[in-house]
Amino acid sequence: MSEKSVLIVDDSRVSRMMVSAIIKSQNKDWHIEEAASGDEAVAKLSELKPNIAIIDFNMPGIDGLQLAEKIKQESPDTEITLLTANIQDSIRDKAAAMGVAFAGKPITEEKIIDIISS
Amino acid sequence: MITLNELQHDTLTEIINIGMGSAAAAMSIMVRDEVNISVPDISFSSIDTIQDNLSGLDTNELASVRQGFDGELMGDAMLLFQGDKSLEIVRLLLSNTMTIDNNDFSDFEQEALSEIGNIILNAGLSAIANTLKFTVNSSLPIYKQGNLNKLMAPSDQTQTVLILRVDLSLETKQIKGYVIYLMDIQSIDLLIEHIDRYINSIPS
Repeated sequence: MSEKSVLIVDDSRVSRMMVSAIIKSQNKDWHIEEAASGDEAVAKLSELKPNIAIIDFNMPGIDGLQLAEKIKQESPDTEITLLTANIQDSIRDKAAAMGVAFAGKPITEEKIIDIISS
Repeated sequence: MITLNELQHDTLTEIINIGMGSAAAAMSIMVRDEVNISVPDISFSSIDTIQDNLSGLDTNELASVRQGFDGELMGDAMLLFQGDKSLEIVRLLLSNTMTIDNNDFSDFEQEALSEIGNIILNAGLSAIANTLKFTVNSSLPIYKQGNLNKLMAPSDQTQTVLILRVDLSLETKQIKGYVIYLMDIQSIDLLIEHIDRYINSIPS
């Protein structure tokens, strides 16, 4: 796979580390940027237009779907996946309506490979 | 005194069963081991009776993740397990994904357990919300260690609450935990309304 950039947004450091470790194990040359909140991610968008954004839903400040909206405005070509423990149908439905992919936690290697491959 | 009729009780038990099935499945993926769950125990009582319901745990040394929820249903969800097993759980979560020295697991203890609690408690809550077709907003998880009194908020002590208790155990690792949902009277009334609506929606 050609070199890509990935933005991982999750208030859980452990989750960011796990996602990052799985991506690096598959694509060691990819550029990975992390943010611990939606607001921190938004600040990074002026510098970074990631190919892929993997974002949590429940975070301090703006939630994952509000962040997805901002990413779509700033970086329309970014492929966004909501990766969250909040697996309610209502959240899945809202994500689908926005054209945002959905993956439920827990994080597994298979899920992350699927996200970055699709 | 709040009581559930037989059908309401049966329905709530089944919905909690579905929720805990999701929670156990999530935990099983994280720790790569079979997780056994008990039949849910449902009671209305003051919170100080919880201690009597945590058999197998030393209530002086607990680890907990607590997550509030609101929206169409309000309350708190708690994951409780033995404090001295917390590092073992963190090791089970992280060792297959990342290379971490055994001595460094404690650096991640609080965050890893918060995330485990987040996933388990949300799996349970989401299954309940999906089944009863409503939406709940969950707050960020809060991790605490200590005795049971320290883990409970002062406002918990006096009110009557609905206690939904399920035990999760990893038999091969001798790790046991409980998931407890606490809801006050107002929220219990709302929950009963949702249950009745669900029962009435079942084709006869």
